[in-house]
Amino acid sequence: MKKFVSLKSIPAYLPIVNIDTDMIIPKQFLKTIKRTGLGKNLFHEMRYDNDGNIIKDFILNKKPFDVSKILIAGNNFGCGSSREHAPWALLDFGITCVISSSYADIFYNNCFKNGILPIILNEEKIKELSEYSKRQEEIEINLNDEKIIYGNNEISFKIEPFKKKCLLEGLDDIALSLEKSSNINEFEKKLEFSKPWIFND
Amino acid sequence: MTSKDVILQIIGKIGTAGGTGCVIEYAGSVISNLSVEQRMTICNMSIEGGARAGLIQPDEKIFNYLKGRPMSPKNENWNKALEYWNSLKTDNDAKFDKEINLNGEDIAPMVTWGTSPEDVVTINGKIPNPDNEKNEDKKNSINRSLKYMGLKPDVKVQDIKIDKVFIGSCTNGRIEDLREAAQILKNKKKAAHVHGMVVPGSGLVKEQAEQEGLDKIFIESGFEWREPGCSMCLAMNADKLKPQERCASTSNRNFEGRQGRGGRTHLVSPGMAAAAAIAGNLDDVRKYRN
Repeated sequence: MKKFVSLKSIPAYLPIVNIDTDMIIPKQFLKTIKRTGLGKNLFHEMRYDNDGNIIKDFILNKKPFDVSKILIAGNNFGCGSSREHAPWALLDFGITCVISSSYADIFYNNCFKNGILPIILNEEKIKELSEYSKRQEEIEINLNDEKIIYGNNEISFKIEPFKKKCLLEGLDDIALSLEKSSNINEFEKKLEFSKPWIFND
Repeated sequence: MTSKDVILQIIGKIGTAGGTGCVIEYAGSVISNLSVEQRMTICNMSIEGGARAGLIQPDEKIFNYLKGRPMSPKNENWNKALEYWNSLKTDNDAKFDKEINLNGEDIAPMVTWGTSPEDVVTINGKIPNPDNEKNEDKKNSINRSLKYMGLKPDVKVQDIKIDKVFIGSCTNGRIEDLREAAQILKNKKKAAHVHGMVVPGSGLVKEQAEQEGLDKIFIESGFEWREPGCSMCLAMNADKLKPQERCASTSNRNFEGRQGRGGRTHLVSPGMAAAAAIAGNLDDVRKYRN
């Protein structure tokens, strides 16, 4: 997994609440289990019309937001289906930081497994940042200091220390689990004895 | 009142983020009186309420349901499992982070009007009016949903005409769901303009439904009897709504484009889906029960 330390980009603001994973990446693109190539279909139904032409008004189709690495969005971002394709699509488009006042639980956790930083700010701060995004100026995300720096201002955010460490060092769950494989084997041996029914006979 | 109405009302009350960070445990007389398959519908839609999972404490109904099923433990393992499962009761003094109480008597057949599972209204209700909403974000969200759904504020739910009916999905594609719909459709025809399809949740459900003759009831009422699968719950295959087509669906999600680009989904129980097919519009299933 790619490390996330700091990031500078012009943020794109999508003023929609309850953005669900079907909006982020519609189901017709789920037939792949590759993490790459989904970016061109990110927010597919908002980005393209019925004939596949680009909808020019959509924020991520407009310069300079078409290369934004930071997405600001309404609350409960990532609700709906638990598909990991949602963070994959964001990542493949180039978005490595999402800022919202709240997230759906599974999406939120999936971000950390893919090197994406989901920042939680209160509605007031979201308003402030979204206003600032109209200036089309770069803002800076500094994970180490837990700060968003824009213009002469900065906003602090909080993040669970372990999740922060994983992002900073690029550690994913599988690599972390495999470090403990001897404990896992030991546990499974005990389980075979105490709960034999879960090992299908 | 069915379990789909119970869970839709719960999601309407807590919102699609209401269960974030939680596993929801459902309890009370309404829940313990439900059959196992009805309980599955509720637990299944916990995700739509934002939770990681939903659970109901095990009881005799669950054990009887599991006994002899293809993947269930057998012989000595069954006894060991049963002993363990019996220990999984909720403590009387258990503390929960949040508790929501609903009165079963207040639960009417529910329908979603918008593009989020929390956008619920009773079948006798009206489409909400954004002018009544003070919160600016919510107002925008209602306006966006109404535009997508092609609905005007204050319209009566029962005046909404539908084009398609989908009975199936992991939420409502079990044998009891099919029985519930078939009971309403027996000796009745769907409205001429409605296209209806029934998609059993699994091969075993399909087999059992055919043994019970449910397939014939559906076919005689004008429905398509299809092979098991996800089908129009998420429109990954050719089963999808055309833009602006309106569907009464027993599935779990009514997001924009979920059942096909531009398609309009109203989430309902299997009985309500059957009633909508007969009436040609969203309708109160209680009028059709014998």
